[in-house]
Amino acid sequence: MKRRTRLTYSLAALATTALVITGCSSGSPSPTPSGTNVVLPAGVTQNITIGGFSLNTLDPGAATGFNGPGEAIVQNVFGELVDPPATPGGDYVPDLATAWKYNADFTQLTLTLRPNVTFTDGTPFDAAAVKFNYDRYTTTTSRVSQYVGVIASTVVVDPTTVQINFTTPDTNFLDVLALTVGGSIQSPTAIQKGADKYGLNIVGAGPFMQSAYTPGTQLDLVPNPNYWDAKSTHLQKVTYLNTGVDPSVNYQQVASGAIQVYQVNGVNSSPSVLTDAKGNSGISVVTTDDNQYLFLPLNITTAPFNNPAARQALDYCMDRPTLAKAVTQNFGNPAWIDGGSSTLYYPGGGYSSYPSKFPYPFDTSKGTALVSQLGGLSFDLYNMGGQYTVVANALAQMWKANCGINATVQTDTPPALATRITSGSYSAVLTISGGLDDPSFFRTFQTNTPQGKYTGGVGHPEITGPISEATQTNDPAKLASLWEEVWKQVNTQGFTIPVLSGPIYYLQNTCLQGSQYFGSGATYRYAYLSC
Amino acid sequence: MLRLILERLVQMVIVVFVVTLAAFTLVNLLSGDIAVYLLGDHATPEAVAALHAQLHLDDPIIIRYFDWLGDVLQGNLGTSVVSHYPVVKSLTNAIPPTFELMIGAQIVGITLAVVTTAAAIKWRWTDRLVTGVALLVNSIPTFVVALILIIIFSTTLHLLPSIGWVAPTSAGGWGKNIVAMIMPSVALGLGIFPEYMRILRSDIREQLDREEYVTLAWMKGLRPTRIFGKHVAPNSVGGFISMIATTTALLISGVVIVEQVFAIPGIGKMMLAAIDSHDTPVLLGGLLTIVTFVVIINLVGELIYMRIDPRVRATRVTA
Repeated sequence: MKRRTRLTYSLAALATTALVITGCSSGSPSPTPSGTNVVLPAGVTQNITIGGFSLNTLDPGAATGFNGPGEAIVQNVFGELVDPPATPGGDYVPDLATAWKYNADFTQLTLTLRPNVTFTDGTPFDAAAVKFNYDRYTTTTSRVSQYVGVIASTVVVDPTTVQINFTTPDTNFLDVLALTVGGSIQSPTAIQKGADKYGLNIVGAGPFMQSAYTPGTQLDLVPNPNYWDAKSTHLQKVTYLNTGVDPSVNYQQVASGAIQVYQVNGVNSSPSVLTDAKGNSGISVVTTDDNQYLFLPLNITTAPFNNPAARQALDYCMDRPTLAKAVTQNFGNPAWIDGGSSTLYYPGGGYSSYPSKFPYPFDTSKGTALVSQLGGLSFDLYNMGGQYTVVANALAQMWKANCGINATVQTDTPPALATRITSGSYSAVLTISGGLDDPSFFRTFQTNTPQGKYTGGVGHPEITGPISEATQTNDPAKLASLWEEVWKQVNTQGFTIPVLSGPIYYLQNTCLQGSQYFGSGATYRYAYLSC
Repeated sequence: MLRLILERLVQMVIVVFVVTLAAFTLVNLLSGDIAVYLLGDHATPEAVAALHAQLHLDDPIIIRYFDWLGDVLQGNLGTSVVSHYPVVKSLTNAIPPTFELMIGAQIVGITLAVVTTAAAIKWRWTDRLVTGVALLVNSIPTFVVALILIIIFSTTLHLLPSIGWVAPTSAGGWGKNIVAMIMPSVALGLGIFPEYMRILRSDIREQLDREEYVTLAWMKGLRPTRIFGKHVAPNSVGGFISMIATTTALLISGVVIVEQVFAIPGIGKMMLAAIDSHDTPVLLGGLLTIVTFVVIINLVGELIYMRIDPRVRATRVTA
């Protein structure tokens, strides 16, 4: 199963982890696309509609923050320089780049590009185009900039060879290319021509191309006849449709056949829909690894959470298994680190071993004593509404009942919450992240975001030290050790409080085959309808 | 008559001004910085400041409002601050589905009201039944009605599509378009028919039971259809027509819900998204359209009422 990433919220990657860092430093040019040798059924129109999407721009390089498109969607249009390993720990797969090589100290990555490739506007996909994109990504504030901040310069060696130089060693940049929108190479000509409206009409060299787009409403994609692997693309039309955010409605849309796919998050969606879907023989429910997680970033620069005792009290008074059962009906799981509960994310023995390592396990007597020592604990708990509020209310009730902690649940609109986090005017926020397999993202957010200073990453070498080390090695054993140390420190300090983790559930038509599921999205390059 | 129309047009300008000013103020008083929201995780203070300057966010609200108004008067509704999509284009896309939905809902509401009223008048025993049904329908939120319709007619019976909008220009044309609009129109129309029925039934009953001209008509031996069609109906529909005009404004709130459930890319959905992301140009463009539409519909309702009832015409024109 391949994986992709989608940053779902501002503080998201602050708590991101995973140990999919592979030892691969050079690629072999022999891709085996999974979309070949498919016999399509006669009389079946190969069109699919994916529900639930509301896209405000299609350009990941636009200054639109987390409103920008996720990797799973734009990958359809831009393709990728490098595909992720088919299995964790495997080799990366050549795509628009056919080979790659790090230098000895991991400060330079040289990519060999696939020759004779053109964008769908007819302009060449070459080293100059790659340089143009990375120069753009590194000089603007955009969704991509978070992933490519480590780039010092991009150098054109020849039309099919490009060198990317880093400011510090970075063994994880292949993950950026494979798993994030940081691998999106767009037509320089189209970008320059479209100016600030380019995001309405994107041009790439991937398996599909845009045929129609209305922001916030609908995106239609059709196959790119000149794609280098066009024979593996079977769908004639892929539509992303804004079917609203209500899971019950979207479930009915899948059940009625109006749409073919809808994805439900295991940690912040109503579990009744999943129960219904699992009981419906006309719907197949595809479950990813646990890669979504709810967590509480705490503002440690102000009261009450500038006091470690207050942070510990929250942990001691939180019965995570009961919470998971109550609000997700066990479609989600208790989380003990700021990551999903699959072994992929857990170093040192995996998920089953981690609860015993948690420094402040559920203990109401210890929690109550700390609250008493503090003279009481009251704070506002912010969230984005919907199921977040359900979980926040459950947390508040649990803290109150177990230890007398007073958490007042407050709901903000996304702009209000973003402003609150950036300005540090909060005590605790219940938020979500997921899908990120690369610890380098964790490093980026610990050190580079304006809000990092409120959540404890900046200025704590016991955390930033091992993270930095982790980006300078490809040794799996060393990586596991380093990341176990990171989680140990984060949990001990209590800067962020892990709450729940869970997978993405794809509710989809049983005829849909060949989709590729990633951390927080799916792509349809090789997909087809079998009936 | 012309004077009345001019008066209403002047009133419309005032209403549009007040409503858009209020909306502009409220949106800009919402907590949260749109620049921070747009720029996202790695927004530097410099980038935020630059975007503030670009969007004139540091100017006083009233100045920004009049800037917007000045552009509108020159025919420029601006572009979305989130997507850079022209507001006029968004409206061009969103108006047809919403307009069609509202017409469909009115057809459903009026038809049900007329049919149930006729039944209640003709057969007294149906009166309570119809009233009970109306009460039941009125008690169920539009969202639930919509979901029930989808479960029955799309998921279970596979008779109607659950996506409520197919552009008439696409393959399938108007046929597919109308079929797709059936359930959304019913979901919305069911919510308004009870009020229509109450008004219509009450007005007709009042004419039938209390007006002497009706008694006289009976005594003259006129046929019931003539009494009803020629005399009672014209005297009973004034309130009904006013109600239809008034309800058009109220329908907007239902439109937002129905558009969400049936994935109809209309104005309600567009404005909801604009509120969520503090996208002022899009929100104001939508509001401007709705306010203008509502004022015009009310004016049309008033003119029809005046046309039907000379007493009203005399009152309004001489007032």
